[in-house]
Amino acid sequence: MEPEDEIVKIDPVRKKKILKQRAALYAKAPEKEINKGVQVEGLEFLLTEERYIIDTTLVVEVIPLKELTPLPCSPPFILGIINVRGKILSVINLKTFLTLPEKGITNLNRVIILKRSDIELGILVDEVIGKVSFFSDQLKTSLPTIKGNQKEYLVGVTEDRSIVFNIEKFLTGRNIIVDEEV
Amino acid sequence: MNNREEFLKKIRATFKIEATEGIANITSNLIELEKKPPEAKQAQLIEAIFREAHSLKGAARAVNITEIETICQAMESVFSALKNKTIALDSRLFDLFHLTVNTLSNILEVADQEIPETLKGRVTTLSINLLKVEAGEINEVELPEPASPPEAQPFTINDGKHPDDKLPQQLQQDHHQQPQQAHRYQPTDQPQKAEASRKTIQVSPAVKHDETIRISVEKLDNLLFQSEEMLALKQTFDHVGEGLRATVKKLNSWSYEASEVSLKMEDYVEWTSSLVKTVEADLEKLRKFSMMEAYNSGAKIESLLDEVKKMISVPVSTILDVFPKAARDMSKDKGKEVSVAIRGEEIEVDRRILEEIRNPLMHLLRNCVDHGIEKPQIRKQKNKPEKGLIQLIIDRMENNMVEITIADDGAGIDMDKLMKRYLKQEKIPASEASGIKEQTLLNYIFKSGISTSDMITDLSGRGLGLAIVQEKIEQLGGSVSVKTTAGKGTEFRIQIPLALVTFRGVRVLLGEREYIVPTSKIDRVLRLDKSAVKTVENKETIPYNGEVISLVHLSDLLEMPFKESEGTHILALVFCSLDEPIGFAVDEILDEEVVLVKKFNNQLKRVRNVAGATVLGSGKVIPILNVSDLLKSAVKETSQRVREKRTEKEKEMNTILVVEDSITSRMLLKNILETAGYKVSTAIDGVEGYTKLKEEPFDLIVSDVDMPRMNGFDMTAKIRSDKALAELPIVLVTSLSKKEDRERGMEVGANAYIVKSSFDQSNLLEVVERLL
Repeated sequence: MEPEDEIVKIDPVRKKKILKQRAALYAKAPEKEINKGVQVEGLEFLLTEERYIIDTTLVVEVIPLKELTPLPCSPPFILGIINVRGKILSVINLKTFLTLPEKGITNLNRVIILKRSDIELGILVDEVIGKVSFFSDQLKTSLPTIKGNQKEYLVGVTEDRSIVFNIEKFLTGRNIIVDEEV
Repeated sequence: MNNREEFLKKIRATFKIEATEGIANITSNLIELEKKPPEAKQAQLIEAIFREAHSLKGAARAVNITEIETICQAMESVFSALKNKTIALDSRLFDLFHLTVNTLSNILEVADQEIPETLKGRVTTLSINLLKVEAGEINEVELPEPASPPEAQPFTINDGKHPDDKLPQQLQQDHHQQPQQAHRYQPTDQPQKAEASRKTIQVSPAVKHDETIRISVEKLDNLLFQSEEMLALKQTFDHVGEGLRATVKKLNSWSYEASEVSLKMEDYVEWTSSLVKTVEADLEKLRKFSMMEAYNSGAKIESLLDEVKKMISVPVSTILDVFPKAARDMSKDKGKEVSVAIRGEEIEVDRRILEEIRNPLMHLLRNCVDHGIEKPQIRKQKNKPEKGLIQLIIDRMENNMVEITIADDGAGIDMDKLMKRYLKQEKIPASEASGIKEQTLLNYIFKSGISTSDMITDLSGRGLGLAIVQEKIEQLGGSVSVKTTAGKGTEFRIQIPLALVTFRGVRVLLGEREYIVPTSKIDRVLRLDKSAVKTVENKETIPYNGEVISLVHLSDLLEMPFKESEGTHILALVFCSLDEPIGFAVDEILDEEVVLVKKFNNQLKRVRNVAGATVLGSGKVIPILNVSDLLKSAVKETSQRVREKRTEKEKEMNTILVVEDSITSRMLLKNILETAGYKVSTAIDGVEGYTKLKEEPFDLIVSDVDMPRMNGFDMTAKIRSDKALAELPIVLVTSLSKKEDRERGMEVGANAYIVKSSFDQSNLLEVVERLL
């Protein structure tokens, strides 16, 4: 009952003023967050000395590449097939897929397994850096240095100059589907 | 989505399954009833339909789909009246009943969304008409135009997931519903008197059902998947056993050698040999244990797998139940009359196989109705019963196969027309027509683009269908054939395996890659002297069964880099083929194995010449080849191209050893060098590289620096200190770009040093060319 007594004691004009001040204070959002937009979680990896970030929700796991069976009569961007716990998945070379110049060879040896509904596959990367988060509005969306088909899958570039890659578009696109008759 | 919505969604999904079953039951009972069975049977059927309508009504009310509830209510009343004999069963009623059932299915299809007004209108019309029937005013019934298109499911190869299907179908429905024309029954015969059919109704003995429980297909599939994996486990045991056997053998030979060593070392030798004996005995024990375990677990796993396979086996009737109804709808649309007789529908087959052949079978049925069965007046002229008969006969065969026969008593395939089409499309002069066998022509109808039907109908007749039917069935490891008699009818025979999962395959080697070819597809394996290969009209040929057949190189079809096979013989597989046999040259035949087929997911929907893959006991993934694709590819592959490729590559090949621990870099380097025309071997580190150098001569080495066991610097130093190898050019390719590293490389004697980050194909090839 004590708080109620206290309120009673406060002069109504003053009370109104306090409440107004408080309301104004609450109504004001912290400036920084508005500008930065939504915070997004991503998985960052290295591909030929460039850093890429993809949405983590479609990542199943990251595995080391131990053996790879070449798949005949498949497009060049498919490096081969692997066995992941009884499932046969194809491993895609993003560089070839994005028609990036094949310059530099690296110790590509990590496979990021991705899955979206009935599509499941691996992409081969040099190194997985780890989870990162960034603000969606802080991305730069046009950069002259973006090459080849990269543009089509570009969400933007972070302040640290990592490329945010649209993995959803990649996985839902027709381009990755192999469906060829003799 | 809030909880309530989610809950509603869930129970609607359950309702959908239940209602689909209910509708299917009503349909099959209606079809039976229409055949006018004996009284007692009629009563049973009416009772069954009444019950189904009643329970469906209740279920619809629970999920709040009033349209279904309304129709079922009316349906229930009519059948209640039929049951109580207050009205008589009139053959004219069946169109109304079938239309009602179709409408139920239509509502069910769209039940998740807003139900369109046209459909709502139809519900009202139908229930009014049903009420008229119940009141005995059958002559007042006005039948709206049939609204549902007869089973017009588009026929495609993939597994029936068609997100786009819904739309055109719905559009079609709406389109059909627009004309509200109604036609009135003409009273043709007097309504049967109810009294006439009043006899004692036999109460059907209660059917004893096995206890069942509903499990989602997904769960069963997962279970099967897991059980299949166990099979791999057994193979692993076998593999371990084999490995142990080889180790024991090695120890054997060692202890033998050791006993030969000079007497001075007597003590040491004695100690060693006793130790080796103990190790040998231990290993032997382990080997026996492992083999025993492989055997035991194998038996257990196989019986487990058998049980699981039984679980996913369902009677063929699960897909055939809709056929009589579908045939009725299709034939009505064509102004034909057809009845369907099914035999052997209780035979159980792997559900996944049934799912896959549902569409091919439906397509063949459509073919029978469309092209086989004649119109009633024509049949009458030919002294055939006006109603055509399509028979579906399912038979179990030996070696776990099932045969499904679809036969009609229609006009048969017009062979003259087919011949004309064949000559025209294959550009064969008419003068050669007499030499063409009937079987060749019949097989030809499975090629795409062939139809003897002049008119292209919406049901079939585009000719593409049979090609897809054949492809689908062959994909399942089955076969299809056709027989026809002019004026008497056409018969399609399909043979499919009872269960998927494993098959016997031959493991072949091409270059360094292994492939599996299904044993069942191999007619013969030939080992021929190279001189037996003769070039005829620029094509390579070999003798086979007294004939001359073409020879193609499997590695060419699989688009692999060309390599001249060594040795004096060639090995060729001859595949079973309806057309000309063709020989496929391989480098080596390794063995025959029971393999587990692993299908690719939808990202690799269809890969040319590859049917899937399998995983060997060693964990190695091996592609399984698609033989019918290979036969097609072989015909396409022009011998011209093969020859050109050969002469171009026939220049003297330099051999290069690539030493690299990263598998991708290794493959990349190998590919680049092979494409440039070098013969390439690989090693995974310095130790292996150095060993290889001792075994065979190489012209150049390309090596990584940073490797386990022996790095590139150490290997280079070792090579340089070896007199025999001192002059061998060495190219180091490395990510180490510091000046000291480069200097170190030159110091140990490397001829060139390429930094990975600035690597590109041309500069590697340039360096290699310069050094050779």
